[in-house]
Amino acid sequence: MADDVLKVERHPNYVTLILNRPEKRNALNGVMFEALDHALGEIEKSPEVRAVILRGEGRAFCSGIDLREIGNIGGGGAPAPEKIFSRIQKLPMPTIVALQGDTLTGGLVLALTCDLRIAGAGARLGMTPARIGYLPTFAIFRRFVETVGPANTAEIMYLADPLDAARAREIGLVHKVVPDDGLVAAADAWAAKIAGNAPLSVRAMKQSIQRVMSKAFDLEHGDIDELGNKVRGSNDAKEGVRAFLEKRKPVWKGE
Amino acid sequence: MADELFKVERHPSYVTFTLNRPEKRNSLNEPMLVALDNAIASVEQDKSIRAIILRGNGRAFCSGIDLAEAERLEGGHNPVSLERIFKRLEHLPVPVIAAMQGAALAGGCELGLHCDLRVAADDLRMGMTVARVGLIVPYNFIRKLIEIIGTANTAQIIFTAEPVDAARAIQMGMVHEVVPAAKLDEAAVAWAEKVAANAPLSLRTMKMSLRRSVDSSNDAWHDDIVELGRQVRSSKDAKEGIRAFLEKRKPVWKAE
Repeated sequence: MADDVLKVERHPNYVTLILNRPEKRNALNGVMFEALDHALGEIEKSPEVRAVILRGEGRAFCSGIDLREIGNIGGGGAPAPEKIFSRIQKLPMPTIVALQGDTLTGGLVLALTCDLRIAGAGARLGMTPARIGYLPTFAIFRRFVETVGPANTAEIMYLADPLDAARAREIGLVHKVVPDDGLVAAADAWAAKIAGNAPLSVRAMKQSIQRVMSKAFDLEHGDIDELGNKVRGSNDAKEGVRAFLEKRKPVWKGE
Repeated sequence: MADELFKVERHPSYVTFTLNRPEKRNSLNEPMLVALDNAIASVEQDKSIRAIILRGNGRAFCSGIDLAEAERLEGGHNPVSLERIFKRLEHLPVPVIAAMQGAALAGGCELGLHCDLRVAADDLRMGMTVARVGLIVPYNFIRKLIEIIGTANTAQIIFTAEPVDAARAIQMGMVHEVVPAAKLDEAAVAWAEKVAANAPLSLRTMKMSLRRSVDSSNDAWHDDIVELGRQVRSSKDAKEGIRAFLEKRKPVWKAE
């Protein structure tokens, strides 16, 4: 069952994880998070894996967390999204994500947990929570600010308007843009290139980068988390999700 | 009086601030700074406002502090009052969009950088020209430059004192979008409307998160640099620099 929504491909010295729910533009649901949890456990125990590719089957990389299941995900002992995201980020070997079509909200956060990002020319990358009265966590903000800086984070978050691949490349949100039909080949080429480098060097380098950036994560932000919970539980947030599912414009009350 | 130099226009969900001293390329004098400060105070508590546009009438967005009046500003040309007002602008609870054309220089450049989003006309020149007149960029303004464009680009901007054009500015990440000059207002309104259509509580809390992520680096101890800045601003070179600028001649530096 879990195999259906997440495929794991073993190559000589790298692994490809494939989100496989194309009819839902690979929207993340509880079953997928469980499958990711399992796959990460295997990779963490495999010193011979020197790189990981993450990609999505179908027209879209990932349209985010499935709003129909957003209330249930992470409940009942299932792995919460943030736990999975932070585990991907802490994988000891480099991770490469291949992005085609829609890479939205939870899908873009998932992409930012990887070290390297390649986009197909037709990709659209964006954070749309402000459209539905939702709020990304502080940890998510930190990832954006770290990757593209505060000014570009402001553009992505406040406008809630997805960027095309060219603009994403311009602000450093992706490392490289390739024709859509060359995307898998480009990701494979990078994985093979990395896997050809000295594995101890590469692992130590990844640790160095993470250590340099770690200080800002330690900031006190309990008050913002608290405020975030209020925003997520607000009437506006309920209205936003409802309006999205009913395909109409939300009416904001600021409460 | 202040209304003439600085206009506040209310729209249903956003507010437009307009610098209105076009004959002086909107250079900032005391009444304008007071008006800006008052305008910020008037929107800080207003929950119905979801975005702000800051623009300048005429050919230039803002050419910085009016050097002819600098002596009369609080603390001479010590930009302490500017730092305080810009900090207040930066911490406004809603997103602020700067629409910049012609020139955004020195204090005018920093004014734009203290907004969240920047739309530029294709004729924009942005720069920190203060080293030309023997003044210095205060610590918090250098920090702002580094926050937006990184250390390497900041070095180019402050050491060369040479403005960059709109194409280079977007390369550096100094502005978010470049549009034809005739389309600037339209583009800024489109951004404001797009932002204002999003959920207000999300926007305000996101802005808090974003500021928190970067503000800690502003807290680095720098009293020694503030003191050094005071010395530079009152040096003979600084007086010579401003005199030369007003007399439209090259300054003669003595490093004292």
